Amino acid sequence: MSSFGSISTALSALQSHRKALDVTGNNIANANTPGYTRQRAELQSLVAPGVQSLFSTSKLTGNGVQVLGTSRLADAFLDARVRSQTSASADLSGKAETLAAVEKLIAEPSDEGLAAQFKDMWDAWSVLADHPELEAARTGVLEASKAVVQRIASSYKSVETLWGQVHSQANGLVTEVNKAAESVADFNAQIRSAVTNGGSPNELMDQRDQLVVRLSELTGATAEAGADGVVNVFLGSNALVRGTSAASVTLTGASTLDALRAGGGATSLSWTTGGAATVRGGSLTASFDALKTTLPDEAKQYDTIAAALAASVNTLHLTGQGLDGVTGRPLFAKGADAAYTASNLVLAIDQPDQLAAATGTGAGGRLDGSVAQRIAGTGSVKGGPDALWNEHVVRRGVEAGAANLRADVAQQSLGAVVSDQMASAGVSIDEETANLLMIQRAYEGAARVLTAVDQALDTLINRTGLVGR
Amino acid sequence: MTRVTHRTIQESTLANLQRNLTSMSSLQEQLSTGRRINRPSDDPTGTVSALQVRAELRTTAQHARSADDGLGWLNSTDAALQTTSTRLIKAKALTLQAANTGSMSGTAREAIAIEITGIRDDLLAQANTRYNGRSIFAGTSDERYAAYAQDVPDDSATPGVDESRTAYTFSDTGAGVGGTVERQVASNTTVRVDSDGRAIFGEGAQSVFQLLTDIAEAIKAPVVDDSALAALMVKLDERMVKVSAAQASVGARTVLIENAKQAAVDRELNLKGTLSDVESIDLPKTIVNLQTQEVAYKAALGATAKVLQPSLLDFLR
Repeated sequence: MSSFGSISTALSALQSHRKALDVTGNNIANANTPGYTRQRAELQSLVAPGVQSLFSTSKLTGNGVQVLGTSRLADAFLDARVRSQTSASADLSGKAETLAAVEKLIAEPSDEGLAAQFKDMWDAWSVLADHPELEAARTGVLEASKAVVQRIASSYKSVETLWGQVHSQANGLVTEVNKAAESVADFNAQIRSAVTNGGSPNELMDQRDQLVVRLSELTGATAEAGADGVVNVFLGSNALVRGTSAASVTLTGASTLDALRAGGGATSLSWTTGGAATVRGGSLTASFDALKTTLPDEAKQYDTIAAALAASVNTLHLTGQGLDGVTGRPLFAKGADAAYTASNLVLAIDQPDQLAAATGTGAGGRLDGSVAQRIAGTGSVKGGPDALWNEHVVRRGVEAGAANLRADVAQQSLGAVVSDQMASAGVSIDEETANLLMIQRAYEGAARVLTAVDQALDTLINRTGLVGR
Repeated sequence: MTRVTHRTIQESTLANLQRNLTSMSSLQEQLSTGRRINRPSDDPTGTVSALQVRAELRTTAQHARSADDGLGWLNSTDAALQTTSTRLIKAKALTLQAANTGSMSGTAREAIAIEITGIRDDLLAQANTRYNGRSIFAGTSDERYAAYAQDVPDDSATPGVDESRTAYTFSDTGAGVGGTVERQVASNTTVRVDSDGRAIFGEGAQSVFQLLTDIAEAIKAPVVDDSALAALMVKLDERMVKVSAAQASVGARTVLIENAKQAAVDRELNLKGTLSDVESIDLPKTIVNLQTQEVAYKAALGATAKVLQPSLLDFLR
């Protein structure tokens, strides 16, 4: 071993520990950076030269230490769990949000809900049954009926508005998916070049992985690692991002609730190049579920109630006689369309005298109120509009309750998984401080070695051969 | 062993605080609205009950209103029948007096005849009694009067005089579907609140009005035909029986409606209690829950402040 070998060994230690100090400093600097994964300087001892030279006089020791690289302490399995749990949680909480919005529209139980308005109408009919002679009672029925018709129509309208909101939200999400996919592909390219050039891609990976998690949150996308540090992202079995190229998706299907209900295609995700894209989990699944099932079902419910109302009241009203002696008039009529629906229900009568309270048959006089009494009784009939509404309210309540519960559970398990991930990848200040001490001590030690060698050489160079001088 | 970092502690602490705060806000919502069920998902089964009880409450209130209205009808009818009965007794007394031909001069009988004609007009007015703008003896008819007289001498202001009508016709629609006025006073109970004027007062030649006219004519005659007068008095008795039968029926129906009304009022009270049980919060319980929650929240905050502070850096020089 040469005289200066020890100096170079000490120097390698100084250099390596400076590098380790940098890494630890970087960890501490990023202790609160979202998505940052802690790094570690991988130290390795330098082996002694393998071939002994001819004149070597002693067994060789190692040549010091070197930094192999900075490793990123991410756990691929935990990352995958975070992705899948994020997508499940986004899906379930999206569904719960839709149902909460629907519940807000329903506004029951209260004194102002549809149930109360129905009851107002039946009460007005009861009053008319008691006082067929009073114009006020007749006007009361007309006004209450008008209020119910308007309430059903406006509720339907609100569902339609909600559908529109969810649809444009879904559009926004799809745009975000495309942008995120492009960014992931860009990051992949940068990472690949960093890896092949021997650079450090760790920070790029942190940023990219956050985008991949966001993609999972939006679409339930899955990811798997490829060569050279890249990540491929899949929707179902087709790649959204493969290496450095990203595919793009677009929203297809009906763009209004009416178009959908008129037989337009259900809203779904398609590849821009054609073909359906699979969305399994994530916010988009919740949006599609709302657009395809929950909201159309809600709209249909109002149609059913409107039809039931028209059918049950008209059946009785047609048999009755108005104060003007005319029989066979319906109370509710269809608007422009061919069916009794929430938005197509109108009052066929606008003159109070035309309301049929009397039977007009047998012994019935014009001040008879028996038909009005029977119409008033419609409110408590099984399968009548009130009963349909109550059933609907309860069904939504049960659904919303269950959805909230599921969303809560998913949220909690997401919390657990994220906490696991953070436990493995997060920066611990205590640990870094301990590392700092270790590194400092090692650095001091290396410097001392340098001093020792220096002194030894000083002895050799400056003090040797001075005997007798 | 799981690695614990400051970040994980911070995240989990924040999540716990968030959960604490969420349950506090839900308790506060319950307290401020005073209601346990603010949306169907709060308690779906409770929501069913709440909706049903609310509907039931409205129905019961409507029944109570109908019962009140029905009582008004029956009270008016009872008053009219009471007057009718009194007037008929008076007519009978006058007739008996007039039949005693030995002591009655022609002029005196003339005077009695005029009084009896007056009673006839009174009865016509009773038969046309109105309640809230409707003739109580006309069933569901919308005719102007219940009973019509063609001509009532001396007093053309009597309601029911119509020259174009046959004497003493009735516009009562009579019993039968739609012919009677009914009030629904309970879910399955409807009570008839009008009375059949045609049956009580009679119509045409058989009417009490014609009978009184006939008696007046008989009394006015120069020579009173005793047997004819006796036959008329039998008819008068028969009429009085019909009137008291109608009174009895009105009384029975009044009791029925009063009972139904009482039941409706009791039920309303019951239902209000049920609704409050279903929908409203248990105030002491909610307040205690809220305070427990608050204590837990404060404890969590305190713990957070302690846990997040120390690090190894505090103990190095």
